Amino acid sequence: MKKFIRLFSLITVIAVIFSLFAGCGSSTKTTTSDDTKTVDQEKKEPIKLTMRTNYNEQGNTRGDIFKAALDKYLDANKNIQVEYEAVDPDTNKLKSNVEVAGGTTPDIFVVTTRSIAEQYVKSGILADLTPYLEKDTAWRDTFISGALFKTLDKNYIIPNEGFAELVWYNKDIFAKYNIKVPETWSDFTAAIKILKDNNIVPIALGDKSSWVAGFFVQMIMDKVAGTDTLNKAIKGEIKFNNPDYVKAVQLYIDLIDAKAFNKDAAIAEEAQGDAMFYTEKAAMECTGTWAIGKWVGKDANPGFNAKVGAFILPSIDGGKGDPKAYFGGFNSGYAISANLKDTKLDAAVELLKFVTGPEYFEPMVTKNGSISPINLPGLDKTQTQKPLIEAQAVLAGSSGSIGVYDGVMPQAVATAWFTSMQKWLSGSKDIAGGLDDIDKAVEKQLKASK
Amino acid sequence: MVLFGYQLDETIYYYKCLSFGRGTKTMRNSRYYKLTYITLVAPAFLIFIAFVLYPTLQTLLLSFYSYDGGISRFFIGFQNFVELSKDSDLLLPLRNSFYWIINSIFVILPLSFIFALIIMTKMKGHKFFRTLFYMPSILSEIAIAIIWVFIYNSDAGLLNSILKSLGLESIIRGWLYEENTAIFACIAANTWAFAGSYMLIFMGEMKGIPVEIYEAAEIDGALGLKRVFSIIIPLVWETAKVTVFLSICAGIQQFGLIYGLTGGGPGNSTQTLGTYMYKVGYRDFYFGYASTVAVLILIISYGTIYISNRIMKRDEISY
Repeated sequence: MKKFIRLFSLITVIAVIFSLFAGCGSSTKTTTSDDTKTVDQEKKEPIKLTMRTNYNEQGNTRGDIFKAALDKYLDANKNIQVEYEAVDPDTNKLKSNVEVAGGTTPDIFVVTTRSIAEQYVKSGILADLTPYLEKDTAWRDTFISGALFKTLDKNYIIPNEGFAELVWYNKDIFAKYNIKVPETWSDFTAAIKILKDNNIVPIALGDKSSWVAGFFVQMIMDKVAGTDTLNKAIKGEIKFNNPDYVKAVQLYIDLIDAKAFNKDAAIAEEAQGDAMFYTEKAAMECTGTWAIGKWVGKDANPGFNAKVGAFILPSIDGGKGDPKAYFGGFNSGYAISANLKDTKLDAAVELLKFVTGPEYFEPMVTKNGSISPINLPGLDKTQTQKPLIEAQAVLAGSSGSIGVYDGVMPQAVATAWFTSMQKWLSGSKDIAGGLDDIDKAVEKQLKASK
Repeated sequence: MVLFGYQLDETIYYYKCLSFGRGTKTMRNSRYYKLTYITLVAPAFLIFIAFVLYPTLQTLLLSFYSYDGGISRFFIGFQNFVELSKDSDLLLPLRNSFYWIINSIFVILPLSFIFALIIMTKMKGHKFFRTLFYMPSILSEIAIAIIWVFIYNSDAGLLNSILKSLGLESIIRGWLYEENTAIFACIAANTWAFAGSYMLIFMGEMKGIPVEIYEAAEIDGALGLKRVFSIIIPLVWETAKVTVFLSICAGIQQFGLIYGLTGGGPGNSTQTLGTYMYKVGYRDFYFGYASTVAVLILIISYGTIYISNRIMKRDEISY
């Protein structure tokens, strides 16, 4: 009996301690024997969803438009509650990667590239949305051709924006120094020299997060080697350390040596690079159409909007790439966590239908200068921001789009590519070493995928 | 009072005995004593199991798997450890973590000891200096990083501006931007950030030294540096040991400051073991391999602490 009492008291002590931990938890579940009452309670119980976007950036036009659309949806659907968070793009990437490892992503969140989406799908963290798109063909058909991309043969991502990566330039600065839009590589390097001689930063760049330089470097690599070279290199069929990529990197290093980029570019934040361009300290920036929102937002430089022009990086003598092709298409979008089931999953999809509809995309096109992934038949194409009109004119004369390199490369290979680019940007001349590092990452990735 | 068959007042008595380190052998064998002991140790022990032991064992287990964060993982034995031994990318993080530890032990700790001494002399303005030295310790690592990014800015940074005004233009450079200076620039920022917190630990220990010891030393003629080397250093030696352990751990695990200053770049030039582990795990999605790096960090931490403990071993002086 004494032993029993001793054991009982010990268990009680432990139970008390655990109850203290349980008190720290966020939810408690109560049950009732009255089944009818439970069902009624469930009906009245709002559906709670968590959502995170990467729409927190300079000017934040995008963030404001999204929040307005979301609020409108929630006003009309009182049974849905959304705990919403908007973070900057780098934080979103960082948080998502950590959460995927722990299986604790928000219910709805933004995935930024196709290769990241593939990684997440392999992790089993994303809900398959193919049945919803097949069931609601009206929703599916609102998307323009090519916008709804598949990941491992299924739809997991609902696109949130189209984009084109171009070289943007300040027309006033170009006019002041009598620079014409470059049509050849030598025109481009000559323009850089003129700008540098006049103490203007030729190209703004903030590459601390190491992927921003990729917008520009992929253009040189593609112009020199062509897109097939990349497709073969990521499969290990040829080396990254090949004569074409060596030539491309040499051209990049030549530009760095010619001081084509701002000082500290390797450790400056992306936002610092952006700011350098829209405050007119730099004459050019290589980025995507998503940046237009920063140029026209609340904090924008008044009038800058009208000064922006765009061009496709000129072709390089002897280059194998398509001279008229641009990088762009549809790469990012909303994903839903695989943890969501039944009514919660349905509610999340319904919410996505709204925020990928005209309520969001019409103001995105008109106010933010974005490329819409859905058809907007009632919208006049000229009713948008001037930089997008400039970009549309460039795209009209192009031969089509190429998938961005970090969207095609597996994550580990992309990381190695980013690291090598940053090394060269900070003064390293070791072209072979940097390309070998990417080859090593390819080998490791191929080995791991076996 | 009886609770669950136990005399509560007796249990409270044993608690008091435990608190003051008393208790006979018979008493220690009694069930009341054991229950009290278990009750007191259990919360800390459970927290240790949940938040230290379990994650450590999980990490150790994961280091034997190939795991990309997906649903399935594959047991690959010691393959990750073999890869680790061949990983040339690991050399830079190892070197940088070594620099970090060396700086912590041979620069930050002596500096914080000197700061503590200056303040303990109660010279004029010592309260101002105490606040000044300690202020960085209350800032978050990211806030510190932002301050130092501005200080190191190539064009308008404080450091280059000072050098320029001193006519030292030849040594002006992009401190964080160049591969050969970036890690030292990060280490300098770390020194500024952490000297104050170790200073506070030393001050606490120095304040505990009875004034009679100083008085006796003064009579014996031990003043100035002799007092520092013969009285203060021997009496704060145990505290110094603790600060060495803390700085070794902080050095090897360093993440926040590096992440804020350079993100591990340019290239990989400022990666430490902590940021490298993060990179291979959360950027490359090789979670199994990242766990192997974590095991290496664990081994290096314990190894370095063991060695420093042996080197710093002295007879404990009590007063």
